[in-house]
Order: sequence, then C-alpha cells, then structure tokens
Amino acid sequence: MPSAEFFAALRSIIGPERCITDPGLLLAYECDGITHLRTTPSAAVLPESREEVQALVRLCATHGVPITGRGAGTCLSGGATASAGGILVVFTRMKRILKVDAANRLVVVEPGVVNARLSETLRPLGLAYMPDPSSQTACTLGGNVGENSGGPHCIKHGATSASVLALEVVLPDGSVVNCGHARGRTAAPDLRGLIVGSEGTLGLVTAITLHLERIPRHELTLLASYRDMRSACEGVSAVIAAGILPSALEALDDRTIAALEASGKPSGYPRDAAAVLLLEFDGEASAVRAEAEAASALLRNAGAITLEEATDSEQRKRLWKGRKGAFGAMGRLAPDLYVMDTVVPRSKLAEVLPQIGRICDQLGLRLANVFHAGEGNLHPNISYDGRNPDEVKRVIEAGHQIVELCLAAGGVLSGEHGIGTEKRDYMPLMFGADSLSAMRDLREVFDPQTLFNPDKLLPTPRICAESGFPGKPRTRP
Amino acid sequence: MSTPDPTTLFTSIVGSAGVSHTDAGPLAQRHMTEVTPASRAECVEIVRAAHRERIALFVRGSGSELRLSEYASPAALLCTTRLDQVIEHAEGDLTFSAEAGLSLNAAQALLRPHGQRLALAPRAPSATLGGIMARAADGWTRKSCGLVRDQILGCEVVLGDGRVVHSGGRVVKNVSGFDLCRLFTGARGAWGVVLSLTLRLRAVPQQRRVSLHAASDLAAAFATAHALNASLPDAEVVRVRVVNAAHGTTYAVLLSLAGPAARVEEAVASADDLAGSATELALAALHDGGTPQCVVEVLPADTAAATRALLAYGAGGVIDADVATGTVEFMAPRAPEWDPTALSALAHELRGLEPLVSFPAHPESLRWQRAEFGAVDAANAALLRRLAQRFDPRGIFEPGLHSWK
Ligand SMILES: Cc1cc2nc3c(=O)[nH]c(=O)nc-3n(C[C@H](O)[C@H](O)[C@H](O)COP(=O)(O)OP(=O)(O)OC[C@H]3O[C@@H](n4cnc5c(N)ncnc54)[C@H](O)[C@@H]3O)c2cc1C
Ligand SMILES: Cc1cc2nc3c(=O)[nH]c(=O)nc-3n(C[C@H](O)[C@H](O)[C@H](O)COP(=O)(O)OP(=O)(O)OC[C@H]3O[C@@H](n4cnc5c(N)ncnc54)[C@H](O)[C@@H]3O)c2cc1C
Repeated sequence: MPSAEFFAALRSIIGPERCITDPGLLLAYECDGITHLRTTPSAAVLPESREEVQALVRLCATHGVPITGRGAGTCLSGGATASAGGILVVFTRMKRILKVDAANRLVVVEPGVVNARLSETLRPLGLAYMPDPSSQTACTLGGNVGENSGGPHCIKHGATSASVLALEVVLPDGSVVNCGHARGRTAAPDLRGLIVGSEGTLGLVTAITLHLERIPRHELTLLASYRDMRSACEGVSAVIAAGILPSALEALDDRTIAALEASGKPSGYPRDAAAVLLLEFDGEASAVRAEAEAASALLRNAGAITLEEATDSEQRKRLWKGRKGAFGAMGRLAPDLYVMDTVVPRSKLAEVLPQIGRICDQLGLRLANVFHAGEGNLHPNISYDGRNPDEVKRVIEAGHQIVELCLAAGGVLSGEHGIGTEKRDYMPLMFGADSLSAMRDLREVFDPQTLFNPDKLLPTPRICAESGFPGKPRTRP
Repeated sequence: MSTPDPTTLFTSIVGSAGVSHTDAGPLAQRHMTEVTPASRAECVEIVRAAHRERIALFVRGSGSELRLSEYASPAALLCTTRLDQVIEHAEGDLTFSAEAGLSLNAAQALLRPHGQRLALAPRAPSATLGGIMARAADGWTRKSCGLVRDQILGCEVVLGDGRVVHSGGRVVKNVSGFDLCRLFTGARGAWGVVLSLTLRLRAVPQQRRVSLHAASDLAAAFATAHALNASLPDAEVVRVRVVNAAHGTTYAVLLSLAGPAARVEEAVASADDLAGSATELALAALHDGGTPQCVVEVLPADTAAATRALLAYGAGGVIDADVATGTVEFMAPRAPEWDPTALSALAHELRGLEPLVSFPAHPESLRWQRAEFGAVDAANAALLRRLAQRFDPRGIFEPGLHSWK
C-alpha cells in the first residue's frame, strides 16, 4: 500500500472528488469483463487533462506505485485491473471530441470518448468510424487502442490499428511523445502501430487521431442457416477463398440460438437451424449486388437450408437481432460467462469447432459459439458458476486445451481481446525465448521501472508461480 | 586480437559462391564485401558473426535504393536476393508467406493464375517484399487496400545481436503480444534483417479501367478529381497529372476503376459524364515517369497546395498528385540540383502543410532530413535510439544512415 504522503499528493493533483479511495466505491473497479480476476486498487483517479495525467505519472514514478490505465473496464483479458498496491487511472472524464475534420476524414478525440458516441456524432456528416466492438455502447476509444479491438465490421476495414493515424502518449517518466501523423505516414519506424494493442504497458494514450470512412451508400445483409456448423464453416471458407470481401461475416451456433430462445428474446432465426451465418456487404449498389449474388451461390452450395436477404435498415436490424443479443442471452444462462478469444486460419474452422465442442462436453461445461467467422476469430463462450471451485477448475482446463488446439491448427492466442493476465502465461506457447526477450527489452525501453500495468501481457517467472487464472505456465515445444 | 577480414569470415559461412565484392558493378568506388546468404539460417549466422566481430552491415534487397555513402570499416553488404523461397501460399485463407528477398513481381506472377494478388505497388519495379516492408514503400493500392503496414500479418527478423524474433502469425487478426511487425515496417535495416513475412492477399479485380481525362488547367483538374473522388468512393486511384513538356504543360485527371464488371461499367459511365472523354491507359501508366525526384505527402485537402508548391519550384517532368491520399510525386528526366538553397526554397513553398518529404531518387537524401520535411522529432528519436541499443547493441546495422540513430 502506498504511503499517506502519496495519497495526499494524489489528492492535491486531482482533487478529492476525483480521487476514489473509499473501499465501498472501489468495489466497482475490482475487475474488468473477466470477473474472476480481482484486485482492489489502492485508488481510482479520474483525470480531466493530459497535464493531470502527466502529474499523476510523475508522482507514481517517484513513489514506485504501479499504474493501470482504464477506460470502461469491459476488457476481456483481465488487463484493466490494478496491480498489487497500484492505482487505476480512469479516462472516462477525458471524453471530448477535440476536432472533426470532414474534408480530410479524420477526428481527434480524448481517450474516454465512448465508441458508439463517436459514431453518433459523425452520422449527420455522412462519416463513420468503422471498428465496432460488440461492447461499443460502453467501451472507450482509449480502451480500443489499448487492445487493438475488432468488431463484426472489421473484416473489410481492419481492426482499430488500421484506423489510428496518430497518438499522443504519456510515457512512464511523465514526458509526452506524439506518434504517427494525421497524414498517415511518417519518416520513422511505426511507434504508433507498436503502441496500439500494447494494453497500457508502454504509455497512456491521452489523444487519438482517427481515420474515418464515408457511410456506405448501400448495405445488404444476408442470413444463411445450416443444419450443422461444419457446413456453415465450409460456406465461410468458400466465400473467403473466392476472394469476396464482405463488410461482416459472423457465425452463431445452435447452442447460442438455444440460449437466445431460452432468454425470452428469440432470435427469429429458422427453428431447425444448427448454425447461422450473417454476412453484410457495403458499397455501391451494383458492387454490393454482384458480391452478394456470388456469395449466395457459394453459401447455398455449402448446404444452406435458408437464405434471407435484406437491404432496408429495419429488415437488416431484424437479421442482426440474434447476433446483437447473443452475449446478453448467454449471460443469463449462468452466473458467470467466460468469453474466450482465439484465432485459427479460416480454412480450419470446420475442423476446429467440433473439437472445441468435444473439449467442453468432456469437461461437462456449457459452451456456445458466436464469432467473427470471416476472420477465423473464435469466441468459445463458457457459462459457469464462479462459486463452484470445481467448475472454475474445469473452465480453466478447457481454456487451456482450446488455446493449445488453436495454436496447433496454425492459429494465435488472441484476435481482439488481448493477453492481459488471462493469457499471459500462455505466451511461451506461441513465442520462443528470443521473441519474448525482445518484447521484454522493448517494454524496458519504454518503462524501465515497470510502472505501467506491470503484471500484464508478458510472463515473468515470479508471476507464473503466483497466477491463479488460468495460468499453467508451459513453454513452446 | 584483430578483426578478421569480412570476406574470409563470411566465406566460412556461405562458401565462396556467396561472397563477392561491390567494386565490380555500379558501386565501383565503394569497395566492400558483398555476401549473399542462400538460406535464412545462413543469414542469421552472418548477422551473428558480424555482431561478434563488430562488422557493419548494410542490407540490400533488390538495391533500388541502395545507400552506402558513408560507412564504418570493416563493413559488408548483405544481399537478400537469394532468400526467395515461398514458404506457404494458403490460397483458401488468402495469406502468403515468403522469404524477404522474393521480388514482388515474382510473387505476383505466382499468385495471378490463382486470381490473387498482393496489395502492394511500389514504383521500384524490382522491389523485394523485405525491401517494401523495410521502406514502407506504399503505392497506388493505398486508397483501395490500405498501407503496407496493414498488409503484413507476421514477420521473422534477425536482430543485430543475433536473436531471431517472430511476431504476428499467419492469420488475418491477431493481438498476441507487442506488434513488432508494424514496428519494423519502415524501420529500413536499422535494427535487423527481415527474414520472412506473411501478407494478406486480395482477389484480382474482375475488371479494371485506367483512364486519363484532359483538363483545361490545374484548378479545373483538381475540381474534377475531387468531384470524382466524392462521387466514386470505390475508385482505386484518383490523381491529377501534370506533364511539363517542351511544347507546353498539360493537365489531366488519372483515374483507375476496379471491381466487379457490372460496377466498373457503371462507374466508367458516371466518370466519363463527370470528367469528359477518356483515353484508356495500361495499368503501368500509374508508374509513368520512373523514380520520383521528390515525394511530398500532405493531408488530402492540401494536395493542390502541395502540387502548386512543386510547380512553383520549377523543373520539368511529370507531377502525379493523388487527391485521396495526399501523395504528390514529382518525376523528372534529369535530377534537379537539390542543393541547400533549393531545399530551403522547397521547405518555404511547403510551409504550413506539415509535409512528409522524401527523395527516392537520391539515396543520400536521408541526411537532408529537416523538421520542415517531417523528420523524426526528438521524443521519437530518443525512443528509437534506446530500442536500437537493445536490438543492435553494437550498432552494426547501417551506421550513419538513420537521422535518429
Ligand atoms: C459484451 C462484450 C462484448 C465485447 N465485444 C468485443 C468485440 O466485439 N471486439 C473486441 O475487440 N472486444 C470486445 N470486447 C472487449 C472490450 O470491450 C474491448 O477490449 C474494449 O476495447 C475495451 O474498452 P474499455 O474502454 O472497456 O477499456 P478497458 O477494459 O478499461 O481497458 C482495456 C485495456 O486498455 C488499456 N487502456 C485503457 N485506456 C487506455 C489509455 N487511455 N491509454 C492506454 N491504455 C489504456 C487498459 O489498461 C487495458 O489494458 C467485448 C467486451 C464485452 C464485455
Ligand atoms: C523507380 C523507383 C521508384 C521509387 N519510388 C518510390 C516512391 O515513390 N516512394 C517511396 O517511398 N519509395 C520509392 N522508391 C524506393 C523503393 O520503393 C523502395 O526502396 C523499394 O520498395 C525497396 O525495395 P528493394 O528490394 O529494392 O530494397 P532496397 O532498395 O535494396 O533497400 C531499401 C531499404 O530497405 C532495407 N532493406 C531491404 N531489404 C531488407 C530486409 N530484408 N530487411 C531489412 N531491411 C531491408 C535496406 O536496408 C534499405 O534501407 C523507388 C525506387 C525506385 C527504384
């Protein structure tokens, strides 16, 4: 626990009302979207300017107090929780949209701006910020940068990194560096790209310049249903292999559809469907039509039992209803939900998904899959009761087996939720000693004191031994 | 103990067939051992030996932009051209993994029969995949497919201290650990040699039309180009082209439309309505004029201003100004005198535009960097230097060539 002197200085920087130390109030900051990983911060502070962030960082550096940046705390890898004795710097009050430049299709925002609020602000201008995490009504752009977040519509336009032009970053010594440039390219190696997805370990982002797209003139949504997931996956692979680039390509399995029906908010998807694909195409009408027709033929060929198409916004909304409600419905199945995130090559979906089903069946766990199929980005969702230690143990084991399965299929640890503490100890499964030591070097260059989010992202021998969830340290064969 | 001669040292790794000297060819005045590893393992051994013996290394892909002017001794030129194996073409996944010395042309030729392509289009005709990554050599695919940095899914790099680092993977989405692929994109050969990389593939468009539409003057050309860019958001390239020939200056809009046949036909009709009659061109016309003497990059809305600045600066040749990306390329048959006075004049013309200015035809130009041309600032340079100390602690890579080092 930091000293009384530290807390006094903290309050003098930020004022008592934006410096939360009351244990009752701190409960709200104990965990992020991974409810299993809990630590109580010694304080949660809510700065309103870059200068305040700099002062906070300098104070923490002097006292050796760890800092974790936090947006809305919806992170699904345990990355937005405080480190032992550390504080949380919560960016939700830095929520100004600083500049909208329609001519150059860019905005400058503070990190606390909520993703969906930016889209609402831009809509009247005919502009859109494309990355749309399913959590977009809550999550912040700073958090999106922290995780390099994706979303259903990232297959065509790319995840967060592809939209980030420049960042203003407070480094662990309190100094500021501006990385990237509004024009897109710089003379330097791409520090901007390094900081995106670095999970708050290299710097705290205090301003973000984002590239915008024009709102597409036409959108067409296709819903294809299948009697089994294997056929649906073959449909996905066929569309991708044909070089068709939809703006979204999502999948739901029978267990998710059943959860939707059980939740009292039925999806409206065909009753005999064991798997559903949602595809969207955007652009000019004739291009959208040509792509949708080509995709429909391939989907039918893979065994689609129904194919529905919608172009007007009400109809499209209806087709998306099940996808949008999926997480909520699964949340109602059991007290806790473990949303996993891994990626496999898109040609391996049909092979890997049934094996994930078997892993969970064998461990007696309730699984449902809803995922970004077009990118091979899986979300095996396991509903469980965190009060049952045996079930928690089985969830951890399933997570481990799924990770190993996906890596063996040529995949990676995470597609969009990041490493955090959840997958930290799996890093040696994917990276050899040289790669890990280079990543450690890189972190030390930015943060020699390891002040920023210290126990996240990279395994250390000490942390491996201490970690509870899910952490079974193993090394790459 | 004295440093072994690089020729002897590298011959012991790659055999005599892999070692030659630069004084035979175009680099006659710059005597240097030239070593060409035949495998990634050999390349790693060369870097480790150079690290051990403190031999400076200059990395060369196809050599389109070779820079050796001032170098420490002993030094050697490390050529990647024999690292040209395809590692995996995952056709159904639209990913392509290859060694860094494979030329883009060879890769595209291999992919074309499968209806696939890499969304890379640097002007250098022989560029290697590693050279394109190291140089972040963006080209005309930028508007439709994104920057080079967004095409790279994974890479393998040997650092200056001999560590072999992997980043990313062979899948299209990935947030596992620090994104070293992006860090190494545009780093040139400052920290290490890119051994191999994995890239995203795209389908070859069903149809394409490249066309030139004459305009009466510069203002009219920009007005048309901006109108086309707004009304045809899926256009592949929208440029203003100024040709400054002996018999006078001509202005035109250069447009590329690509995609499904039905869409291209529809877009062609509306483009010709808006911009007037078209002369059809081959795709290669996008690279007319050869190596740019100067490339100025600004915000898209400032493209016309940057073009005027280059015109005002004088000199003949061709100017291609991309209104969607804000990239203005200036090609001239003969190199202008880029002496300090000329550079100051250019900086003055471009003031207020926050440009990034580069001189691809002038390998020496890295030392002309100045704040007004978008040079790396002190805060970025400090981080880059500290990274260099970790990745290349003996400073063997390209000493003297990077302003921030
Ligand atoms: C129901 C649900 C659906 C989801 N769907 C998706 C999805 O479709 N796609 C997806 O990618 N993710 C999804 N997520 C995960 C999560 O919403 C994203 O990771 C999101 O970007 C986190 O934003 P946040 O504001 O909540 O950040 P937090 O959770 O508070 O923080 C995330 C990380 O960023 C760091 N960070 C936060 N702010 C800053 C800053 N200013 N500077 C530096 N680092 C900072 C934190 O330290 C932490 O490491 C979902 C989560 C939930 C609960
Ligand atoms: C006709 C012509 C036009 C050009 N126009 C432009 C332009 O408009 N804009 C622009 O930005 N560039 C331009 N260039 C530069 C050119 O696009 C790039 O230099 C080219 O892509 C590099 O490919 P290369 O294989 O020839 O690399 P080389 O020229 O051999 O090397 C280029 C740089 O990359 C490094 N490098 C090469 N391979 C590796 C590797 N495997 N690992 C680490 N570092 C490596 C080298 O150290 C060197 O610094 C032009 C060049 C030519 C010849």
